[in-house]
Amino acid sequence: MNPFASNIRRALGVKAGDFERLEMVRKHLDDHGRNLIPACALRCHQELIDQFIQMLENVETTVAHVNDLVDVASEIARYQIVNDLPHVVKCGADALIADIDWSEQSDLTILSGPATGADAISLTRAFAGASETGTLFVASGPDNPVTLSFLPETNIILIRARDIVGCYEDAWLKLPWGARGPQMPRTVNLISGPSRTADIEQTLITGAHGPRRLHVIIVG
Amino acid sequence: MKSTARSFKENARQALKNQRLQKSLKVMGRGFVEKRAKARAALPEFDALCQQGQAIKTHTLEHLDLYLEVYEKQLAASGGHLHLAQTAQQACQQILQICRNSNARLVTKGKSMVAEEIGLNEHLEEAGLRVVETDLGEYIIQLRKEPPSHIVAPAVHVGADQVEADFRRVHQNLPPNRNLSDPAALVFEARNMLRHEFINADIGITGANFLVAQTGTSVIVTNEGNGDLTQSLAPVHIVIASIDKLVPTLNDASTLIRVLARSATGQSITTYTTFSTGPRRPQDLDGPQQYHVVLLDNGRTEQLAGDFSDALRCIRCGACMNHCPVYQSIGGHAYGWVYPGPIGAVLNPSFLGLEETADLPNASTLCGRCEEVCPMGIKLPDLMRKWREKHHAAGGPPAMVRTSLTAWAFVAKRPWLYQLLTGMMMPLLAKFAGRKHHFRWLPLASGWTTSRDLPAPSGKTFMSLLKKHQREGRL
Amino acid sequence: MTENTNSDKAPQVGLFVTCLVDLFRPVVGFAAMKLLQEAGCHVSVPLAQTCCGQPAYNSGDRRAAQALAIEVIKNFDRFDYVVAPSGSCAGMLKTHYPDLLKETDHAEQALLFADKVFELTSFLVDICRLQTVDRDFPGRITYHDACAGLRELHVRQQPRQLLHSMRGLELCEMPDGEACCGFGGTFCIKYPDISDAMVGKKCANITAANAPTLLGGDLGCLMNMAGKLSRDGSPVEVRHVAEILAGMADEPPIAGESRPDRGKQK
Repeated sequence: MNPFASNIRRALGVKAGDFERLEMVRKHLDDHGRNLIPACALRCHQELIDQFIQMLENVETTVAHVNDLVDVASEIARYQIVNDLPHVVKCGADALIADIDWSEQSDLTILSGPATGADAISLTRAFAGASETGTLFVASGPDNPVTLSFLPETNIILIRARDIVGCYEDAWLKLPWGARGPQMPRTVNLISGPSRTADIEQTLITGAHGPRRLHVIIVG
Repeated sequence: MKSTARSFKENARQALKNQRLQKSLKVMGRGFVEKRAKARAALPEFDALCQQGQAIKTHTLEHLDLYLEVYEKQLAASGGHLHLAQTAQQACQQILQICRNSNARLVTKGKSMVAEEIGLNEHLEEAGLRVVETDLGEYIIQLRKEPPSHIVAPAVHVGADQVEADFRRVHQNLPPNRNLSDPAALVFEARNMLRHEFINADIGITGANFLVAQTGTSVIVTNEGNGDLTQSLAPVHIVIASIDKLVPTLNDASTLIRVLARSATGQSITTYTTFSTGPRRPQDLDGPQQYHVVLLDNGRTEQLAGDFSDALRCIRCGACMNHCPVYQSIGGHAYGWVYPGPIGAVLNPSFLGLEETADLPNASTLCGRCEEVCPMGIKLPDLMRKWREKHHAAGGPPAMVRTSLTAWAFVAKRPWLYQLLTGMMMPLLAKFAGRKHHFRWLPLASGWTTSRDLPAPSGKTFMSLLKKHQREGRL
Repeated sequence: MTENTNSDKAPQVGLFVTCLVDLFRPVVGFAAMKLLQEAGCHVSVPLAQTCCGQPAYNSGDRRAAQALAIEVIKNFDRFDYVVAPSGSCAGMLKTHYPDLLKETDHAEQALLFADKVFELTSFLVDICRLQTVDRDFPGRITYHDACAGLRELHVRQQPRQLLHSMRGLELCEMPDGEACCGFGGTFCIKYPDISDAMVGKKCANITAANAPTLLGGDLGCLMNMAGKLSRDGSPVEVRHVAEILAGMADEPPIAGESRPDRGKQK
């Protein structure tokens, strides 16, 4: 018996087995009801993708849209050359990333595993993107070790175009679901841009403790 | 932290004289207000979302016992540990015990107002642990040994040149001739300094913006990525959160997230919003091995039953202080305790008692801007007034104030007496003022006349003139 | 009790003069009467009025505030409308009396009463459907939105609409116009330093509007700003909006001597 719960019941003047209250809460949890969804999240898919890109670009993020997975390796190489970055990428065991064909990029080193302080560039995969704010949903696990999203200076996130949805609520549906809700990994990181701070005189500085650069590659 | 709310008036006087602080406040005032207004304008559903957010919070608070039980079950199912702390002291002890159990020496911390509320750093440091704040603003004020002056931007009162001086003082192993002349260089240096701490930390402590009952999840809302490094690199993650952070579902949290950053910094969403559920999974390659949630009551259950329960809806966005003309004039430190601004004026008396904090709910013009921008619809002026009533009922205000109020009320309830007295007094005052039509000084009115002239009455009162006109048949 | 009849069908309006207008600036009360009569109202001024009770209410003396509120309702209950040349006092009657009296026998009465209370300019525009004011005011003015009127009663556009319609009048908005002036009733006496800082900022914004006249709808705020402007030696003249609308700006401005070269209305 949770003593806090009994104290709260006393304060609220309610009883433990009150059927109506229990029903109310059960319904609220089981309905998976949605609150108001902003109209900007209810557009057609192409508009959602355009908005997704626009929102990300508004927060100092670069976005590339490639037609196919075979184009990803060259896009990463291009990005590294343009930004004068080392030709190395660290990633997890994500199936989509595993399918990338690196053969054309002979000077690119692909490392695997969680990030250490020494890794400069990470490649992770978002299971969903919410167009309303240009937000990438990245689930931690062997596929995407969470440190990859935060330790390297540059984070490249891969997302399939079909995983871009309108709102956060739709993004949650892309996780595997159980009876009461999504089966949560240790962390789900909602990422909207490179790390930033305005803690010194309200001056916005991109690149605080997390990545200084965020590059998003949309596939398909 | 030790409260200085009792010396609010003196704190305010010092703050008003502090030119450096005044400069910072001026920059802050414009920035936050304009950014929030823009964010609100960009989302047509903003006000409706706020109303839904309020309804979610109200519903949760009315069923808090049940959602707490669901949360507890889900947290346990995900392998997390729940610790219930009735008081600040208990919370500190529980956290210290978790630290001791893993022989911890270095603790990294993300920003948490609840940690400030319970005085966590002092407690852990007294026990010999090294505690490092990792949010840039918190890091700066930790170096300066100051409390936060704002719940979202804790170092908003500090200038870049002061940060430079602090960094040079503390980061002694770096070349003295390095360039720290702009904020970017300061951020870069802090980033490098804190890297080692993240990686070497034994314990990572974060707060929580929300606790989701449906999934047993804690949520943090940040921009710098420090909270994520704190909670991902240390082998033990401790969340310190109060019971009012509970929300039922991920969808409910999503609604609140839509209004939180927009109200706070004017961002549509913060850079990072992180949902954490349990410790690392068996196959995971990183993440903490232990996940503890220390759930704090500290008087909130009592508040739930009382006059100030609406304040429990607060999501700590800081919009009330950003828009408060009093906060904008004196900054956060003058309030003397953890929560500044209008929400502090409502919360702090609950935590510290009215005797200590009586000035806080009184030092407001009740202009209503805080209520207008509060995404949770908390009627802050009404709640401040309620504290004033309690203060008055407890015989709090000085005898002089009470007596004058009683005398005024006595007269005001008797129109004939009131009009007799004012009918004589006003023409006299007008005569004294002469052609200038104002007083530069008047006995008993020095509060006004020290910095302002007191406008003089025109002459006869409206009521005298009205009666005269009637007698003369002019009306 | 004094009455002034326009017609039998005219709405019966009780003028709540407000204590500051009564004591400091009666011309505002007469200007309000004139405007209401011109708008076709039958205006009465109950003589047994003093104060709305706000000083007690905001100081936490609920009992004293209740006693005054009950008196006000008793004196004004028989009118179709109750109008005050102040957003603050009208806000007290309209939005706070129901809360103040909720635990008394007058709870229901306070709710019904609240429905008929209005601030002057919003009453003229929203209820009397007054569109224009057929008068001159040569020159630029800036306008301060007093907090209670603005946020409790949503008075913002109404005084501007009336002022705009006056011949020769140019309205220049000040920066951060919705910020509080620092008056706050007893606040300005209890926390003079903070109040001074607030009114100081407000006056800088007034000056930035570059208008020789400041208008507003609340005498308390106007006295605060006028007092500060006067102390700073500012040439800005401060008046209640009703004076201008009613063509009664012949009195010296608040806290200052009238200058013959401006502010005269035809």
